[in-house]
Amino acid sequence: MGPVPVRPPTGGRVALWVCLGLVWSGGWLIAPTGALFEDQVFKFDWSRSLVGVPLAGQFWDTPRGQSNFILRTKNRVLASLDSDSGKILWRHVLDDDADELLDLRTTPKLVQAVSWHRESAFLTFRAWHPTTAALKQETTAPLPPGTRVDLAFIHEDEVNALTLADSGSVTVQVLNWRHGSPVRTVTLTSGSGQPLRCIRTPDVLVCLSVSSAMLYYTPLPISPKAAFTAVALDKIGLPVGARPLALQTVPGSSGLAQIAVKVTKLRDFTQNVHEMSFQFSQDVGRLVQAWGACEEDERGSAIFQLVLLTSDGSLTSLTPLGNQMWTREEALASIDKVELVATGLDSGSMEDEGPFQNEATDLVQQFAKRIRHHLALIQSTISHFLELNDWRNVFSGNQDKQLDDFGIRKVILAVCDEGKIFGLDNKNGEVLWNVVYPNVVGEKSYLFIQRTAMHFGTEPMASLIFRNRYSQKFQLLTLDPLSGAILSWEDLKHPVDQAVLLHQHDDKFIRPVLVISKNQVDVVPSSAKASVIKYAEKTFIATKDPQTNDIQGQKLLVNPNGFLVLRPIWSLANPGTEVRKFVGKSTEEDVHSQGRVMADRSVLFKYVNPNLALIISEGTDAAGKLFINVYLVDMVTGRLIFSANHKRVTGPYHVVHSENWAVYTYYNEKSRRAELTSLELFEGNEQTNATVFSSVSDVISPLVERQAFILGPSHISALRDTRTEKGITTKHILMATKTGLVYDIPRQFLDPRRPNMNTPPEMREPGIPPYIPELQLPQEMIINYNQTVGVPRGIITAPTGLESTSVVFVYGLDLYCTRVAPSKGFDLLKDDFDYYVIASVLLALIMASFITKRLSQRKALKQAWK
Amino acid sequence: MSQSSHSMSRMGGPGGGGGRWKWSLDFNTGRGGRGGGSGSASELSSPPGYSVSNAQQAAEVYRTADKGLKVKRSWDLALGPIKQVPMNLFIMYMSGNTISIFPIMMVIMMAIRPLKTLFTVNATFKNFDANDSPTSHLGQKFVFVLGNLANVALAMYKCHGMGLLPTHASDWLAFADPIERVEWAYVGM
Repeated sequence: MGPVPVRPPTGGRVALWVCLGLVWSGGWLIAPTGALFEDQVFKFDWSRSLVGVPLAGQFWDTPRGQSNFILRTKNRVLASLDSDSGKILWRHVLDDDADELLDLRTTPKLVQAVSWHRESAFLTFRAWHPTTAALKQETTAPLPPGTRVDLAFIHEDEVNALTLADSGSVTVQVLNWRHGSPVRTVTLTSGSGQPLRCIRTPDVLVCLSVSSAMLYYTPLPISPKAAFTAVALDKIGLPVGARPLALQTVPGSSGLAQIAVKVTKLRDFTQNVHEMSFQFSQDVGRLVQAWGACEEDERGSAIFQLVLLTSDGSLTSLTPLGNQMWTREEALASIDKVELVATGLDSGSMEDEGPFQNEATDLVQQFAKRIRHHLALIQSTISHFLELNDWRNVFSGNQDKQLDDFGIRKVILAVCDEGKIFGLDNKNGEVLWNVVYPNVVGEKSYLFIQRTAMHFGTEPMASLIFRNRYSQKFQLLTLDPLSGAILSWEDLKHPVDQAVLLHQHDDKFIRPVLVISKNQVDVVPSSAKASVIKYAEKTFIATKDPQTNDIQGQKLLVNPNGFLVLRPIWSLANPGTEVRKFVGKSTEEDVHSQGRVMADRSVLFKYVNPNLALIISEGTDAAGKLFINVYLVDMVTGRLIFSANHKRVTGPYHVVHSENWAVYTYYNEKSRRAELTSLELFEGNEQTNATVFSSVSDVISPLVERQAFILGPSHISALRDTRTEKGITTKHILMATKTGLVYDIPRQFLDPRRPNMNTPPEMREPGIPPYIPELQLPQEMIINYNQTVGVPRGIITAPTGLESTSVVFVYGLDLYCTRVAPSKGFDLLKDDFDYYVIASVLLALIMASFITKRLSQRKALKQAWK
Repeated sequence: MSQSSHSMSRMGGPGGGGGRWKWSLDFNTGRGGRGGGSGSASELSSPPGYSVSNAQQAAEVYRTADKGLKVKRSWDLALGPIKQVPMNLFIMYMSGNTISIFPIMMVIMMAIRPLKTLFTVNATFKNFDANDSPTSHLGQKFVFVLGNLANVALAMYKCHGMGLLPTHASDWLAFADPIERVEWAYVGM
C-alpha cells in the first residue's frame, strides 16, 4: 500500500463557507459546555500560576517603598513577585521557544532584559516598566550567523555578549543598548585550556575554571585591551578539595556574607557581616542560589530579606530571624510525567478483581473482604457525620471533608523535571505531599500506576523509573501516590531502554512493568514474573530503534532457561524520515459501542483493533520541504492498515488515538495554518467476529474514512480525548493552544463522515453536521473561560465514578484542573436542584393523603349510618 | 357490544326485572306461571282479535327462530373484529408515521384491545348459552380469534411503520458484549 495523500481542505471561497457556517451554526453549534456564571468560577476548577525555576533575580523597591522581586526563569519568563507575600504581580512569557532570556537588570525606572534567539542568532533588548509591566523598548541586534551566545549581561549602556570557548577563552561582543549596534569585540584568554564558567558581579566579570581551581577576573566595562587576572582558589580561603559548585554573588548595600544553609556555604569575597542559620522543614535538595535585599534600620542594624532557590525548584523567602515568609513550588512549572490517581474513597469503588481472583482468594475470603470494605465505608461515613457537630458547617458548605461520593476526587501525581514529585489534590490544587528524587534532568523517565486504590486492603502503588543524577544508575522508586510514602527505592540491574506497563495484574493486584534493557527483560516487581510468563504468548511490544529509526515489533518469549526475551518479528523501515509520534491505544480503554447507527438504522461496525498504532514520521523531500508520512500499523503482525502523506507540513504534531479513530494535528507551512486530520476505521455492515478480536487472524481490510479540517488557532500545544468509566459518554477532544486556551471539541465535529454541504437532509446521518473545512470554535467551547493557562504543554484526563464526567488536568507553566461532562450531566441532578422544596412538597403530599384517608373513612361511616 | 348483550338479556327473560324498571314490556304475560307477580294483568280479557292459541303458535315459532337468531348473533359477534380491520387501516393511514402522542396512543389502543379480548373469548361467547360447554361455538370463536389477531397484526405493522419495533441490528447494538482481545501489544517509545 503506497502512501495515499490526504487532500487538505480547500481554503478558497472562505466567505461562502463562513456564511454557510453561520447558517448551520445556529442549528449545530449549541455550546457543548455551556456558559459559566460568575459565581461558578473556581467552583469545580482551580488554576495556579507559576513562573518557573528562577535563573536570576533582583529586588526592586517601588517608589511607595514596597519591595518587589523581579526574576527571570528557565521557562523563559520574566516576572515580578511581591517580596512580602510571594504573589505574582506581573509576568511576561517570551513567545518563541528558541528565545532565551540571558540577563535581567533593574534600574529605578526600567526592567531591562537581554534575550538571545538560538535559531536566528540575534539578541533582543527589551525594557519594561517595573510596576505596570508595559513594554518600553524593544531592540534587536543581529549577530554574525553561527554565533553562539552563552552569557550576556548589561553593563551601563552596553550589552556584553559572551561566547565561552572550550579552550578557555572568552569572546565578548559589546553592543549598544539603545540601538543594538556593535561597539567592539574583545577576546579574553585564560590559558587554562579548560572550559570556564562565568558570572558577573556589579563591577567585575569573574570566570571559574573548576578543574584547575582557578579564578579569572577582569574589571567592567571590558575595555578593548582587557585581560584576565588569575587567582588560585586556595589563595582566597577556599580549600582546593571543596569543589565550588556554584559561583554566585550576593548583592547588598551593606554587604552580606556567609549564609549557612544546611548543605552549601556561600562566600562573599569582599566583606563579611552577618551569620544566621535556617533549617528547612523538609528535604529540598541543596541550595542553588540565594538573593538578598539589605538595608539598615534607624538603629544601624541590618535588616534583610533572603530568597533561596533550592535544587528541588522551590523558592523560600527568609527573614533575618530565620522565619519563613513564603515559599513557591516552582518545580510544578516543569511537569514531566503526570497521572491522576483515584482516591478510592467513594462507595462504589471496588474493582472487578479480574482473572486471578480464584487463585488468590476463595469465595469466602472474597466475601469477607467486601464486607470489610463496606464496614470501613460505614465507619468513615459515621466519623464524617460526627465531625459535623457544628451545624453551621453544613450550611456554609464546609462539610465535604473526605468522602468522595462519585469518585471525582483524585490525587494528581506530578513528576517534575527539577527532581521533585508532588501529590496534588485535584479539588483545590493543594500540595498533599512531595518527594525529592535526584534525577538527571532531561533524561527520559517512566511513571506507572501499578496498583490503584480500588483494591481494598492494599495501598495504591506508583513507580517511577529514572536515572540517578549522582550514581548515574537507573533506579526504581515505588511510592504510595495518595500519601507520598516511599515503599521502596532500589537500583535497577541494567540500564533501561524501555519500560512498559502490562495490563494484567498478579495475585497482589500489581500490574507488572517490563523493564527492557539491551538484551534483558526484567519484571518489576519480580514477584509478578509468573503472571507475565502466563501472558507471554500474547504479549507484543513495538519499539522504535534509536539508531536505525525503524519501528520493530517484538514478541515476548520465555527461553529454556526461564528468562524472558524479546524476539523481533517484524520491522517497519522509515528511510529518510524520522519517527516523531508513535501512539497506540490506551490499554484501559473501554469501547462500549461496537458500531455506528446509520440513518437507515443499519449498523456500520467499527474496526476496533486494540493493537493498532499510529506513526507519524517526518522527512525532507527533494525540494527541501518537510513532509510527513502517517501510518496505521498493527503492532502484532506489522500489517500496514493505512498510510497517508502530507506535504509541506511541520510540527508540532499531536495525536489522539482511541477506539476506532485517530485525530492528529500539524502545521501546514504552505497555507500557514494548523490543520487537523481525522481518521476513522470501519469494518462495514457485517461484523466478522463479534466476540473475539485477534490481530493474527484478522483479515479485515477496514474502510478508512478521512477528512481534514482547518483550525483557527495556529499553534496547538496539546491534544487529548476525554475518558469516562464505561466509554458510553461521547468523547470530546481537548485541545490546548499556545495562547493558553483549552478547547473542548465534540467528536462529531471531527467526524470524518461529515457529509457534503449539498447532501439532501434526508441522506445525512443524524448528529453529524455537514462538512465545512474551517472548524468552528466558538468561545463557549473554551473550558478555561478567562483563566488562561500559561504555556500549556500537556493535558491529562481521567474517568470518574460518574459516567458523564471526566477530570481534566492541564499543565505547562500554569496548572489548571477542571472537570468536563461531554454528554452533559445526564447522571447528575442539576446544580440548582431544590432539595428542600421537593422534600417539603413530598412530605405535604404524604400527609395530605393520610388526612384525606381519615376524612373519607369518617364520611363513609356516617353515610352508612344514614 | 353492550347493546347486543342488553337485547340478549331481554330475550333470555327479564326475571325479577319488574321491580327495577318503572316501565317495562313484559312479553311473558300470557305464558302463565312465569310472570307470577303480575297475575292480576293476566285476568284481563283479551283484546279484540287476539286469541290465546295464536299466541301459543307464535311462541312455538319464537322458540324455533331463537336458535337461528343465536347462531346469527354469535356470527355477528365473531365477525366484528374482522369488520373493524378496514376501519383501522383507514385510521392508520390517516394518523401517519410520525412519532407523537396521538398516533402512539392509537397504536397502543389498537394493539391492547384485541389482545384483551383474546383472553376473554370464552366469556364473550358464554352469554349465548350459559349451559354451553367451552367447546361450543367453535367456528365462531375461531373466526373471532382470527379477527382479533388480524387487528394485533395491523397494530404491529403500524409499529413497524413508525419504527418502534426492534427489528434492526442497530436496536440490539447496545446489548452486545465488548469484544475480547487475544493479543496485547504495547508501544515502547
